[in-house]
Amino acid sequence: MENEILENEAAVAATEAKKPSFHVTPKLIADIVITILLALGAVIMLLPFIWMVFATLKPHTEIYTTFFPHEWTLQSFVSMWNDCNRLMEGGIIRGFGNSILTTIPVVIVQIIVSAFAAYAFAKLRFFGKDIVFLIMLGTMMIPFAVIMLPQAWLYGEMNLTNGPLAVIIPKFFGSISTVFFLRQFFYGIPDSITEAARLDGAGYTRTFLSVLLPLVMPAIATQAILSFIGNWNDFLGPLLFIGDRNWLTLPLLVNRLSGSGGSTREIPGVLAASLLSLVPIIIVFAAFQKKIIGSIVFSAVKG
Amino acid sequence: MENEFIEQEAVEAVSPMDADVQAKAPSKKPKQNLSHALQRQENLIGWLYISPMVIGILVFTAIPLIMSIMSMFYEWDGLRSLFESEPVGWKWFQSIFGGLNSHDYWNSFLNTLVFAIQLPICLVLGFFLAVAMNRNMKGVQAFRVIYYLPGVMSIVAVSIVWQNLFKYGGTIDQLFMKNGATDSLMLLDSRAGAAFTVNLLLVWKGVGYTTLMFIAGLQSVSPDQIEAAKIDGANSWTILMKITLPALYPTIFYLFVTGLMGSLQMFNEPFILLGDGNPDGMTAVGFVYYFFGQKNLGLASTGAWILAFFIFIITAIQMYVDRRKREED
Repeated sequence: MENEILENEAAVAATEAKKPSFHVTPKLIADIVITILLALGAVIMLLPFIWMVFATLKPHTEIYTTFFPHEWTLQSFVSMWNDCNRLMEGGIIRGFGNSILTTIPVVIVQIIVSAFAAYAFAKLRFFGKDIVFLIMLGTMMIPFAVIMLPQAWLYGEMNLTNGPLAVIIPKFFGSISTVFFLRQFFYGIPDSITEAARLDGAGYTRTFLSVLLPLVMPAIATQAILSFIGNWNDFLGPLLFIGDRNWLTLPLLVNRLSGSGGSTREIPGVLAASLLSLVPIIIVFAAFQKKIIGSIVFSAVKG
Repeated sequence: MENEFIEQEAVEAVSPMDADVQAKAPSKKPKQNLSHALQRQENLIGWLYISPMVIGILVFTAIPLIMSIMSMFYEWDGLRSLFESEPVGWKWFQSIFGGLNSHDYWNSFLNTLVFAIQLPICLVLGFFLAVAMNRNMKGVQAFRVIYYLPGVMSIVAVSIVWQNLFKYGGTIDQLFMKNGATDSLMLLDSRAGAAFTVNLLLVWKGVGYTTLMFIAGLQSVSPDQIEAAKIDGANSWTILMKITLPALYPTIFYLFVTGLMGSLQMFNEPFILLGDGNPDGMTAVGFVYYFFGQKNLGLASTGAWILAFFIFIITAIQMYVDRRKREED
């Protein structure tokens, strides 16, 4: 019985609507027990977030002693505003701006560059293709820890570390994992389609842009969403490569806030900043959760 | 249903075009007729399309890689150029293997392994959660989303929440004190406490992912086999252990290997939770970062390469097993 489940949500809903569920069957009892257990687990999963939201709504004196606020206040957001302004020019707004600046252009350019490369690797026949692809796969195995320090030095030499450019420019050159992922989708498109387009007189770029790209748009969208989440949350890269405190991204800003103060008085502000830094991710996750979860399951099938 | 999700989308997107293509199919020429001029053009276009990636790899990966290898033999502060630095031979290796930094490095390595305890826990927990969520009942979809939620959240934000929950005198401490505990549990301020808390955070953050992977893997369990076992009188537990679990071995192997490689490169959670330079929370990558801060990039790179060595071994094992599996198929 367990195996029928992952078919179609609509179909499941339809069968459930049809069957009269008045009988107390062993399955019903098992369902109830499992639902209760899963619900308890779900509460544990959500509890830290709920605690966080309440913590930003109470005075610092009761932050560790109560769960629900006895006294409701938005003081945490005021102190967060002030603390951020003290830490960097423009405060939390600038932090958001920096995060957007280091995320959106990266996502867009990286996807475009990677899609072109994926198309070339999947659909074109050119000299040295296989060896280049093999080398690219090989570079995926290099741990970041090995190259990150020379990278930091290199970016410094290139004058990228004074601003946000050190976490933007290098990513403009594409992402190997995205190439790998998209290549699979280009493989799935029959050659007859590209050849038909070519016979109609479309050049390589036209064929790619107007025929193939629309077909892999769902995969590109998935990669863009994952890339957004990854870049928005990125910590170690920006920690190493951003030298100017006016260019801190939100995770760095939040980390700086929590590290600089540490006194209980400042904690609600730190949590308020953390909460705000999560908002874009929560929105993206809520909007695209099906795509995000689908991509994981897809990788599982491939792996 | 999700495993077909993306593929389905791709297929659906393709199908309207198919009709078009079929109509044109008779005029299709075989590939062999590609003339030299055309091949030359395709060479050019191909390299043009991959050129950003090739340049990126050369500049931002290959050069740092070479510098990283060289820096193991230099006293490099990361301010001057590597070539102006003083060569020191095997000094950093001697330092890590038995010398001055030996204790720090292997301690951080031990921490890294201790923080990998979460991995088998995630696998076991994820297995049972996947079986529970792979049922035909209301609300499973919502559970999948909720359990995965911590996995996409900013590591910094959630680590700060956990820090305040578990720190000395934090929420958990207060809760226990209120119920009779006489002293702090030292959940971040002792070695055992820190190991416990970091692992707990990692399980909380990671179990949703393993669950989703197992749910995908469960689709390969054959319903007929389960039916047959039921007819033979096997109970649910036996079926779970003798049929479902073996069907998931490939998923378990994949999750374990990738998880181990991720675990070996752990940095963010212990770093934020326990602070920079805290010996209880310093991982191998944390060691690299710490000595970057100390302006000793030679020692840091040597530490990174020893770590990389272990990661390469795991990669080799994975490739070996994958190849054998493919040969068997």
